[in-house]
Amino acid sequence: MGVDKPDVLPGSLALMVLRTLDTMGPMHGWGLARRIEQMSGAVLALNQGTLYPALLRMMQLGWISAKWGTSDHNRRARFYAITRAGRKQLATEARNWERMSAVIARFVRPGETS
Amino acid sequence: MKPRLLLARLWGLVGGRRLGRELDDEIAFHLAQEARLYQARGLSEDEAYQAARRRFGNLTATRERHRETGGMPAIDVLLQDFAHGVRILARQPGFTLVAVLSLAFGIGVNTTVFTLVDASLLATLPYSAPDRLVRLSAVPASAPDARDSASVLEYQTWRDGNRSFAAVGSMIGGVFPRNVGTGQDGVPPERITTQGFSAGMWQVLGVEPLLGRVFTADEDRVGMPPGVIVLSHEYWQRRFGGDPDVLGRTITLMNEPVTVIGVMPPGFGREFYGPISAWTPIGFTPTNVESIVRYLTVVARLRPGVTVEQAQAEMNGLAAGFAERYPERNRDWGVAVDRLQASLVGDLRRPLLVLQGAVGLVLLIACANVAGMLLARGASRQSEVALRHALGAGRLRIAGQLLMESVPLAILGGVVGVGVAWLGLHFVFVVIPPIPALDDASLDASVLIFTSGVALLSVVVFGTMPAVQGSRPDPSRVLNESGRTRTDDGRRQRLRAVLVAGQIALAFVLLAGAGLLINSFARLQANELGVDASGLATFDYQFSVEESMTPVGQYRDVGLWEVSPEVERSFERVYERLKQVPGVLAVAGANRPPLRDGALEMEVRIDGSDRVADTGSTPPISAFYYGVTPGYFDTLRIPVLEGRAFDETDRATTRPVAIVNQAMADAYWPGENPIGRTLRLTFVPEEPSREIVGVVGNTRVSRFDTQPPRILYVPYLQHTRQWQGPAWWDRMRMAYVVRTAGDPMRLAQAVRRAVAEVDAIHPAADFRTVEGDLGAETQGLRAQMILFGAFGGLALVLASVGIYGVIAYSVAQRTREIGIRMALGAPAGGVLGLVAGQALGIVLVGQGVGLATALALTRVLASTLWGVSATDPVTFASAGVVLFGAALCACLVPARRAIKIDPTVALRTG
Repeated sequence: MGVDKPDVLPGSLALMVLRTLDTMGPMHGWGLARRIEQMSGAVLALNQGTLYPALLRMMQLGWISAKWGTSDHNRRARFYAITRAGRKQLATEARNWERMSAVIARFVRPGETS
Repeated sequence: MKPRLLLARLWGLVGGRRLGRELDDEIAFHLAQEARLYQARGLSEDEAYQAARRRFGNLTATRERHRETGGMPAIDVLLQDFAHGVRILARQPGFTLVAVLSLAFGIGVNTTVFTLVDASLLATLPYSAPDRLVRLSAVPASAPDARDSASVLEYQTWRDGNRSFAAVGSMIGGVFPRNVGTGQDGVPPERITTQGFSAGMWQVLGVEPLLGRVFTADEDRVGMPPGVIVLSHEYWQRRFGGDPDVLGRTITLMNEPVTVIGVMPPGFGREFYGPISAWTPIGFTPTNVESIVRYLTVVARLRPGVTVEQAQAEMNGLAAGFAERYPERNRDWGVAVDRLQASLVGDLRRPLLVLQGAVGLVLLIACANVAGMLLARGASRQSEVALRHALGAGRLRIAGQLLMESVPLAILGGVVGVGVAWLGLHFVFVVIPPIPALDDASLDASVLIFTSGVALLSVVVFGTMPAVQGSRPDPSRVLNESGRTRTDDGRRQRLRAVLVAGQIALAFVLLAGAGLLINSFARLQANELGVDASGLATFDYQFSVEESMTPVGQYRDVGLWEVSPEVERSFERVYERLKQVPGVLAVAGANRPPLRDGALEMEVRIDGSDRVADTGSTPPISAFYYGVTPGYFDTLRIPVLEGRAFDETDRATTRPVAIVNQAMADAYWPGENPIGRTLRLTFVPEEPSREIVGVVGNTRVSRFDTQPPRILYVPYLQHTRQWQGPAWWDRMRMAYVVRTAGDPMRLAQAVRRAVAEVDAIHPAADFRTVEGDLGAETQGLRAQMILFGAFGGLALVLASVGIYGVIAYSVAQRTREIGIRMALGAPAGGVLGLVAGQALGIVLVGQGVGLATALALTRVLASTLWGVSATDPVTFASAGVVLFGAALCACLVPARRAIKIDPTVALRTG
């Protein structure tokens, strides 16, 4: 595990999970973890264990739902799917992130401000 | 927190285990998938699994965070602490038993007394909008807290002059026993309790009859003869078998025909003076209206929106106007508006609140016990607490844990306490006299809520101090497992000593209170009554006003009545017949029963002088008046000291005579023989001069008289023919007394039959023993004495347990020290002194504080006490001695243990 890989920013994990579920459809926890790592181009160190409490919390908030089903290899697995509230949340969070990253970008490269 | 999240978390709290299992399944799946990936890259199964585990991160942390997210951490922790508390209790059954029993008794007696308070002081009357029902009373300006009934004119003025009330009604204060039925009218003769109601009463209470109708305003009018009757549900069922055709039937009441017009629903009217069999209109005559006698209980219903205070203000104005219009009768009289419920339980209020206060003290003592035990246990848990501190737990967290551990104790105490309360309530009902207001007392929902509240409160009371003390950080403990931290132990011991001293103080207060009541009761029992009550029975034989009297005018502001001579003739016939009843050793009669119902007080003028001979002082102006049959002194065993008793020769036509008791002789003719002197009463216009023919021993008029009152006896046949209206009862009724060997109640049947032979209409009613009457009067004091005594005893036991605990613990702690002392040659007496000295200090401080508290508090008992002051030094000293003795006994066991300490063993193990 690379020492210099940054941790996943708080809050961003939810955004990633929601986006993944929105585009890929229902997935189990391991699939989500792999997918997020892939998407980040292995830049982010996802402590896989942290995913599960986050999923529980998102369920409590009603953004995702979960259902037990069977995986590709015929094993019992829990599948998560985005809910309508989750899609709304995704839209809000995505907007926030874009705004936020724009602001941060200005701090990071001050010379480029218009 | 958002409601949705709260709900989800609460659900998580419940389903915590399931959530955990699901997570484990999920993690297992995750790791398997991950491991497959590594295996595909060529790692062995084991290596692949290890890699997957590394990739996943800290498993325990994940589970922990998952659980925290899923449930509610704070509550989770509380539940853990609670469970921990339960485990600790289960591990220490001895500790648990003593603590739970202490709390159970404390909580139980509180619950018992609260049950009574709830049933009476907090009850609501079973009428619509009961909070709008008020009682109106006449109040003398000199005693604003006193409440008197109302005269008819007052009642009418209040009823007609107000704007505050939707309705005003009146009833006759107290119940009327009246003879009903003659046999010929299909109703067997019996005496039932009736009550006079004005038509307004039904409006005020807002209760519809079950059948028929109630009185109309017409039947309430002055001069209207009361020819109607409304039956209670109970009487209707019992005498008429619930026949609806009873409406319109004519029955005989006190020899007058009355028509049944209605039947009330079950239980109606019971709150006022107990169960009533029937209601009749009060039936005001013009004489009643003019009378100044206050005999009406006035009840009113406030108009919606009108407060008691507003009504009071209006009534004040009304009363002032009334007093102005009738200064001679109503100067210095006002009106009080009180909530009806409060006025109905007025007499019970104080004793009940005093009892509630007393059991509150018992609970405090119990809590102090448990607090002391927890403090001692805290010492044994110092290592555990220190470890927690060392591991980073905050003091608040640890105190919280210790406090939470007390909760299962309180819950157990509460549950067992309900059992104690249930037993207590049964005990109370054996002890207390029957009081209508307490009939409904039961362990209902509101009582159980109270119990839960008390149990929770007790946690705060007994748990806080040990929790604060127990959570004190003490790092040395971890580092030095075997060493003693003397400072902390010392602090604990001091706290316990303070707690025990407090227990002693509270127990002293309760014991002093119990002692005062016991002392009062004993003195009351020993009160020289002057009458031999054993073997005496009494009953009433009674006419109605209509049968026995006719109004003849006014005298001294009250109605004057002429008594029919037929009444005395009937009295004489019954008297003569009773002499023939087998088993009757002696028989007599008087206008009042012995030692009950008080007596008629009359003004006395000594003929030929306004002054007592020689002494020059003004004689007392009054004496109690009894009209008695021959044989009265003999039957009651009142000694005749001078002259003679009345006999058959003292008749209406012979010279009027009188007999005085010793107290009256001493007051009017000190040092002289009163025989042959004459005196005159001023009760009615034509009073004869009466010659004193005898002096008899002193008797009490009431059980509660401390001094023998002055009493004047006249032959009943020499009552004046005219009589003052308010004192009707003294001429309508004869209270016969019969003496027999053995149980007087065995005579009841024979006496009833004998009276029925002479008079078919007027029965021998209310046959009872005189001793029973005497007991009934002291029941209230007796009940308070027993309850207070029980609470005082409980306090004594609890405080003894407390002092035992602290001394036993101290001896255990000082085993090594005592061992050294004994090894160095200290005598057993010295060791004993060491232990006893410590106990003595605590007890003396506790008693001192208790004495000061008791001096301030026992005043609340003053109105209940008889013949004893509320700060009676003898009683207080006795309470101190009892408490001291109990404390000494409690120290005996640990003290014996102390002198039995084997120095060699103590030194080796200590």
